[in-house]
Amino acid sequence: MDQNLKWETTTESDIAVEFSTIHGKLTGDIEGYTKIVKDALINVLIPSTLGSYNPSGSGGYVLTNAASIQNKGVEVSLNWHDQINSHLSYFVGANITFNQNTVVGLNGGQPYIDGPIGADQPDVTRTDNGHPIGSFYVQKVVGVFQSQADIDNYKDKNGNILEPGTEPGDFKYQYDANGHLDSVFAGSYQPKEYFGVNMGMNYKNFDLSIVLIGSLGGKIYNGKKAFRQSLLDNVESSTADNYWTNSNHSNSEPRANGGDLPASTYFVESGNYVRINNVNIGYTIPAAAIEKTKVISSLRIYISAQNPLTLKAYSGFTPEIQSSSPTSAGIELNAYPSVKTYSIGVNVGF
Amino acid sequence: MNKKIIYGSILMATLLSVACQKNFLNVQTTTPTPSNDPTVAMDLVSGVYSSLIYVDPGGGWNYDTHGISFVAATDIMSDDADKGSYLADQPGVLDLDNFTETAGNSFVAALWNGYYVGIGRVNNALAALAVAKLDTATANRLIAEVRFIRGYYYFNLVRFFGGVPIVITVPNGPKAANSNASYVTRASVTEVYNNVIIPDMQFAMNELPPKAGTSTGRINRGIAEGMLAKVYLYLQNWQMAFSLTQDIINSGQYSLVPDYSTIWRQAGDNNAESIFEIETGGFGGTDAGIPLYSEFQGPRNAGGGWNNPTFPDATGDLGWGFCTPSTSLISAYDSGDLREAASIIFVNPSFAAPTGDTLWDGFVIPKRSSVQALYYNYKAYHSEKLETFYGNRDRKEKNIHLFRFAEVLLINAEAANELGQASTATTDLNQVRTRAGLPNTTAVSQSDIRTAIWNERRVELALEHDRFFDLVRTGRAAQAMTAAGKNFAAGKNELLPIPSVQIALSGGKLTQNPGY
Repeated sequence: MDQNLKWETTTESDIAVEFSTIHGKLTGDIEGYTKIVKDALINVLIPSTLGSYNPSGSGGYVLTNAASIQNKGVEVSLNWHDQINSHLSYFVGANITFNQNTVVGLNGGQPYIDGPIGADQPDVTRTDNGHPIGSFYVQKVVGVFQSQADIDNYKDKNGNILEPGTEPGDFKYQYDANGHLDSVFAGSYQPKEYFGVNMGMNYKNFDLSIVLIGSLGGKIYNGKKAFRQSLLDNVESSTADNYWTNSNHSNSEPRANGGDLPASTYFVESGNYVRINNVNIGYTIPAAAIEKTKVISSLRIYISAQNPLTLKAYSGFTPEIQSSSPTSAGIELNAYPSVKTYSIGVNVGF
Repeated sequence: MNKKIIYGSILMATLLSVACQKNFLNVQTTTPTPSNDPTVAMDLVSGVYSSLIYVDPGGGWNYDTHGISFVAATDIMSDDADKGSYLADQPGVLDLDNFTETAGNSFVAALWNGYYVGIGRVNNALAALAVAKLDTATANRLIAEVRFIRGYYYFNLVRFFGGVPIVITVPNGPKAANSNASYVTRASVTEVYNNVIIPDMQFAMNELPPKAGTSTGRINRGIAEGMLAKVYLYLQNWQMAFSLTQDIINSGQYSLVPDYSTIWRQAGDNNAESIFEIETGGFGGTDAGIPLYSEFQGPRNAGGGWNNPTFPDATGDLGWGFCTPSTSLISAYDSGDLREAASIIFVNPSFAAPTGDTLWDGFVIPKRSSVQALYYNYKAYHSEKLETFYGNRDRKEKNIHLFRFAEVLLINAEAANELGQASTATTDLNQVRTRAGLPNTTAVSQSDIRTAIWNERRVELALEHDRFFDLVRTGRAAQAMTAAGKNFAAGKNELLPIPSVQIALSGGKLTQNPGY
């Protein structure tokens, strides 16, 4: 443990405008914010030459005041409601946040490395100045070698073949000018925009409400795919159907392999999604119809759906990934699909 | 209600003030520190010993000194054994077997982590011993014991990785590498030998009592002297290798046991031939062996037939079937060599035979169709019936025999031969051959004797984690690996890659080995 641990400190500055116009039908606020967490407490991996080992964890992690992280952005929210006539009213509200997460200081002076997956990808993420926390830092796939000639022609500036041991169907990775494998920052789980919409209407005795949420700009690392260690492990049907063969010259899927691929952009997928979080339709029995019971004062019947539809770019079950540490966020290893719930109900008032 | 609270508060305040006057809340607690309690230092020494048989508390294989990563990077990587199991099982180990491993290989990382965490334990123990109130003799003995282990770990590191960072002090906190680059900068191979390995082993040799005066399992003079002789063999300092081994021979503390095959049974643990052995055993009614060492290499099921009448309690096969002896090793034994059947479990190759072979304890290997491979490592076999066993196959009690008197004779022979003393060399060599049931060597010329000793080392020390290092030491690795059909790149595969994570953590100060 770090003997000099201290509390992290947060400084936040906001500027906001709230307004209400068109006879109060349109309300809204716009807020700009900057929040800096200084000396954030993070479990960081340190060189094992220091003799480190955290007996409760799975590596040489030390909890320390590791970094300062800035969240900067603009939040806009607009709400509209209107009563058309005595039977019909409706409302629409939307909010969107444009957020930029950036590491603005590393107390150790060096980037933090995290995100170990399986036997061959020990360091998928990097937390470095100027990038979002836990960014994926991986080799860049530029294509798939289609032929031996392709491999032989992929050379550095001195004419040396860059990937001599490979075969057609293997990935072609990006190299720098000196012929070294190039790793690139390939985004992070932190979304750049997230938004919510809620809307509803009342018509006579019917009511309807819908809530939508979503986020854009985040990335997900398909750790399930990356973790595969053996030829006997299950693969997604898209991998099984599309892998490179002599007759199927894919430029994005490699040939069938034993799973021990290095970390690369191949495993980085878009985290964009929109989800209908909730739909609720109800009908309130007219008061006159139930008045004579003298027991019940109100009665509403409704149908609701929780999470009925998710539109997502990610190929796994769900774009919402739990993670134990922000420095390894968005690596999907075993996420369950999100549950859809449909219900029919009655609200009774006495 | 309010009154009760007021009265209560007065009562509490009175109690507190009374208590404070009596210093009730200020009891002096004594946290044990190395300087006020010598058991702290002694416990840290025990921690160093336990690093020889690491158990990853996270349940993974993240650090290793003598477990499966060690087996993979010594025997499986050599031409003595193949990966074993089914093809797709543990591709990271297959990569080591085929020399296609990358710097991200988790087994390689486990070795780096394991040895450096062990070295960290030594450094912490030494810091505590420096201030512990122990009598000088005890303190010096403990210092010598842990320094030997540090020297041994560096000897393994330098053979696996080449020059490595020299860490012989306790780093000052987790950011120490930022202020002191030597923690993450590689020293040269020569520096590692001259500044750590030799001084540590020499100190241990000077300070420690011989085997006869040491309780079993503790590092003694013979261990330090023998391992130092091996270090000088690697440095081709023939004179030192010769005189140290001669001193061990003359000490009368060691001899070859008559029956080679008994060495790897519990009955053979710490026998007259044993020099450096990693101790395992039952501990508090549970098994306390090196995690998976025996199970990893145990014969593996290929479908039914493992219900053994002589072992009603044993169910299923014996392990995962890794590290299967190679045909290259088998062909290295001369006919009549007693060591062949003692080192290798031969599965009856006939599919018609009703059962396979019977092991020394009566365990019957089932018929061919029930076993995955034809050959398994007998030296890793543990008898569940006749040896200590409490039921945890993951941690079977299997001592590792890291250094035996037979190797002292072979080092003595090799050094003597290089020094021009052919008759001493052949006398040593013939002692080893006689025990193996073989006639004396026919080699006469210096070069033939050298080859004969190298060949003898292979069969005498088969599957004892020496072969790969020995091939590299003698410059034969590329030729031997090519002969065994392996994809070995000379100038690259003599060393393992430095783990990529460690290079990244060093901010690039740690440099990669050539070719990776």
